[in-house]
Amino acid sequence: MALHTSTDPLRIRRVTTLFPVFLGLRLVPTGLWFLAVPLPVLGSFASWGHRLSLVAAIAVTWAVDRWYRRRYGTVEPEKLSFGRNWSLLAGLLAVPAALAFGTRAFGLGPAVVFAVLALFASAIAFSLPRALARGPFAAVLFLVAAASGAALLVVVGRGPESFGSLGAAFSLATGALLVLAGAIEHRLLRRALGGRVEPAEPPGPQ
Amino acid sequence: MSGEVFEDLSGLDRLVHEPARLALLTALSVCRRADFMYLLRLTGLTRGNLSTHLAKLEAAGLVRIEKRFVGRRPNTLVSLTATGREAIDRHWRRLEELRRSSRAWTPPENETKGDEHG
Repeated sequence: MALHTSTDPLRIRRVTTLFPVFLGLRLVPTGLWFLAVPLPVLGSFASWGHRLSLVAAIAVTWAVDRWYRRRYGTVEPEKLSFGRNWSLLAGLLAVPAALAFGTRAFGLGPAVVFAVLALFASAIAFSLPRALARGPFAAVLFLVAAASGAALLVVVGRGPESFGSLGAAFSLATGALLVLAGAIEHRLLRRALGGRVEPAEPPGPQ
Repeated sequence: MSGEVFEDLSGLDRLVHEPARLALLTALSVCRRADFMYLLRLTGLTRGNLSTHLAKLEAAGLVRIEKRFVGRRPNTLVSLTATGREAIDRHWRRLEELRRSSRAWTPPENETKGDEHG
């Protein structure tokens, strides 16, 4: 009994091609870690509290990845999509480095720092929900992300001379973006592959 | 011209054109491999139906099925063979040609008149 066999080729191609992108909950532990970084309860950045929370975030990400594999299966893309992951990682490393280097070595003002932050925020906002890149939703998400980043900068870094307040603003903005994007992607995945699957043994062709 | 369109339509490969198998082959054509669970989710078929369709496609040489264990769990990976890739590409091209020719198709004049009076 076929419940809802879909033969819409565009949907099938889109979901299959973008499947690794849709596994959004994998971003949430990292996002929560970024949100937690500025909390004073964790102590300074080099403290054990931060290290342990980072290890916990990585462990939860791994567990979420396993859950996705069991529940939704796996797809190996035609071309390994290194671009998104590497750009995200490079951005995560480059922004704090730029903040530290620019502020300490050249005394660059907050305008430059904000420009770097805004560029990174827009890169995240556009690259994560690629599935929506053709619709107005991506533009709205980008505006929300950019506005959140700007508001956080103004609120947290009021008189943003100190590196700490800028770092906190960056961390909060990045964390909020990751959690938001992860939740949206997961919702898209559920809408695309939300069909009920009956349990049976063995799970494979007879 | 009308005859050509309908002859082409009846000449479609039924093994590929069946909706569930068309969905499976289309999905496999845009990835390197996919596993059984993903195909189950994507198509909404039951396990039994999916197994049957995959077995037919494998027997026809259109897909390759590999079984392995991930940890202690069995995992079935499905990929297109070169023949399967060629078959699904050809099938979509043919459907596209049919779509174009059916748009250009007009009923013969005597049939139109017959419809009007009948």
